[in-house]
Amino acid sequence: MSAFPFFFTFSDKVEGNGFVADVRMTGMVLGMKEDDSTWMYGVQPGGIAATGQNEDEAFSAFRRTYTSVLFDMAEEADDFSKFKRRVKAFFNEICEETKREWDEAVEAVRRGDIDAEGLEKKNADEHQPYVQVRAIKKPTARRNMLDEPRAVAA
Amino acid sequence: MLEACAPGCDIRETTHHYCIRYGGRTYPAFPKGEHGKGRRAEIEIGHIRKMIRHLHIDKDCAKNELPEVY
Repeated sequence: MSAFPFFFTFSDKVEGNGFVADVRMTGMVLGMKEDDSTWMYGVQPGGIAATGQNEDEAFSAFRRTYTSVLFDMAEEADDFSKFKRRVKAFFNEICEETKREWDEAVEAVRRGDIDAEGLEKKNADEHQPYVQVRAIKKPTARRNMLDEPRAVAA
Repeated sequence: MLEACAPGCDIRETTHHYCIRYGGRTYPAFPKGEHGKGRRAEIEIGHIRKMIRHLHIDKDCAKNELPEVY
């Protein structure tokens, strides 16, 4: 079983009850190959996981699950401030046990024990998870943002 | 398992998932779907394992209740 420490950066526009929100999050996820499937286990945010037949499929499922969690939060929030609080609470819950494995996997990447060839690498000491939740009052095209490709923490 | 190992937990169905709260922590992404066998059961086991970790549920209790998870 091998473990990959990833950073992800997702951008979403989410419609809620009387608001439209822009959510941009950089988080940490641990990719694990287990028997005939691959899992993506959330580190920060920790309350999320997804699986697929391979790494790309598992990450795609993770992305989809993440967005659906935001949609659930938007549906249940009466207004933007409640939505923002929920997203921040979701982001701030770190899964400590998975974080320890993520840290060990970072060390393995640095030692060269994990083959991360072909994937972008980001220094784990210089990149920190963050979340930005903004209400969109005046939509403008210049705020459109794409996801960033997942990167291996090294 | 939750009844025995996470007494007082709150399980709420949302549009896309089950949202499970316990001990001040939240797992908002437990998948819906019928309990199954084969691949479906494997998927459920992975999510159960992650939920146990994230919500700090007692692992010995969980092992006792759901030995197939570990």
